[in-house]
Amino acid sequence: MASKRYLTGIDWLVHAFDHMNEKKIGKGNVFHIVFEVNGVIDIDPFEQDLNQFISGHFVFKGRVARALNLAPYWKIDKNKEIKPVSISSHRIQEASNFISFCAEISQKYDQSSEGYLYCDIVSHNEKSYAVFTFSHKLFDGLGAEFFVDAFERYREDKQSYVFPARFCWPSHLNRWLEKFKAGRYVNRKLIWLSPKRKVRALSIGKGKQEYQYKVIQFDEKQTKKIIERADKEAGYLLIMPFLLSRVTYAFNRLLNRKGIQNDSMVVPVTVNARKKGEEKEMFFNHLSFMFFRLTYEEAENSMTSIKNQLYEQTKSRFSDKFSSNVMLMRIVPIPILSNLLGLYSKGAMASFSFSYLGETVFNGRKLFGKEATNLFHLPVPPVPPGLGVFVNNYNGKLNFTISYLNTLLNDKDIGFLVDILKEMPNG
Amino acid sequence: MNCDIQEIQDKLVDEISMILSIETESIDVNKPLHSMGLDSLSFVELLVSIEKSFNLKLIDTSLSKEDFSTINSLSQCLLKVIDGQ
Repeated sequence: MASKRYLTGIDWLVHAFDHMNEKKIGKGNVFHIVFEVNGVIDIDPFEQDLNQFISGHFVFKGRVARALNLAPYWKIDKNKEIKPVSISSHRIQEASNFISFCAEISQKYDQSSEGYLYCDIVSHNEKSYAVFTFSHKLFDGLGAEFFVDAFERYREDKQSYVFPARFCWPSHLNRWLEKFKAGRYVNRKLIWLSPKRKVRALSIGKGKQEYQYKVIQFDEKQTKKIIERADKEAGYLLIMPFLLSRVTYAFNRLLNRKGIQNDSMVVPVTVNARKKGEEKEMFFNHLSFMFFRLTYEEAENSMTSIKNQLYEQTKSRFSDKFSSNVMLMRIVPIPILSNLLGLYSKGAMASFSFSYLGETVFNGRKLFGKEATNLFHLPVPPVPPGLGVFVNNYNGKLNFTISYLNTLLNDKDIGFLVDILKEMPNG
Repeated sequence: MNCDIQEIQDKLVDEISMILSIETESIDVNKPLHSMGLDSLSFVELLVSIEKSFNLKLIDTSLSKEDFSTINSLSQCLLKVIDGQ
């Protein structure tokens, strides 16, 4: 019987990404979730309620430690005080400055201080943006949405809210043969993915590296058109492969423009790996990966190849095998693991990362009593590649976030990508 | 392969209940699949399970949105394809 909250291989990988990002850009593997609300949020009661809510979750008192069996686990220091979240308030004059303001916010938090959650409230006229910054050490994208959703339920009825008591997780130090077989399968796949020469990707460049974001929001009418187009071109319910294919098309055009035509694009795609009974898990990382390789010839029209690769990976249960395989990596210390990951495919790793979160799991349509008009994610993907595209659907509206290092893409490049992606409803 | 429509429908209900971690009793065979919570990945899981159960690879077929829209319509469509083999 497990008595500790052991970390999974995916959690360990996330810690390695965190370490890589710290080394390369001075900030960890974090992400923001932005809630756009109508009205002005009263900060003091918001801060008070948020801190009360956090104090009920002793997971915030934790840090990584190694058990005697060598598996890493989340060690709770019962005597430690949970660092209260101090909400900063900001005002902006122009709504168009908001996204670049978020990039500035993301620079200021020190991830080494064991803070796992931060919050900023940005106001513009009668609109507010609640920008939550989450550390991937403790949350994945869906988990963070569940957390804010749970916070809203707690606020509505503090007396009857039940804080989760379950905190153990198995060490997975068994079924070694199965893990080795999964490892062999995954390694073969990774060798197949690794192009002969170099992953077709933008070069990271030199100079001070900071993350920038570009968000494209589609209204309900445009989103409906995109879904209709996906139904027609990819097939019923196959919106994820459709979106990935359009994003690949946009990047292919950009890479062509820059004369980068070598070999294949490689795209890791995060997938939700919550199993039965864990559907609403808030803490730690319940995700896995699928990988897509698109040759130069396939990249212009990649739909068939993406659908076939998605089908084959689902059939072979690749994402389960990947999760199982990385369990073996937990023995490797984080600095060494991050160095090893950096060696993959001569350091290029991937062309860009992609994630389609689907319909939001934040059930409420209100945040702190104010109508939430939109919700989108601004993640900091691992470096390399330092570039990711993230899509979510909030209340029938698709949001596209391109998250990129300033040394990878200039304003012209971003404009080029945005123009192509904005065409999606009109195909 | 000999199948009747009820057999196909029961098999699909079982698969969807497993994929979505919901009770079979709560599944309405006339409800659109997307409103049950199926997304791209879980839908492809369903296609894989159809291949395993009925030996039919549907990812690249010309089946329309209407064919796939409910368990009922999908069952009828699968029956036609199986009978045609």
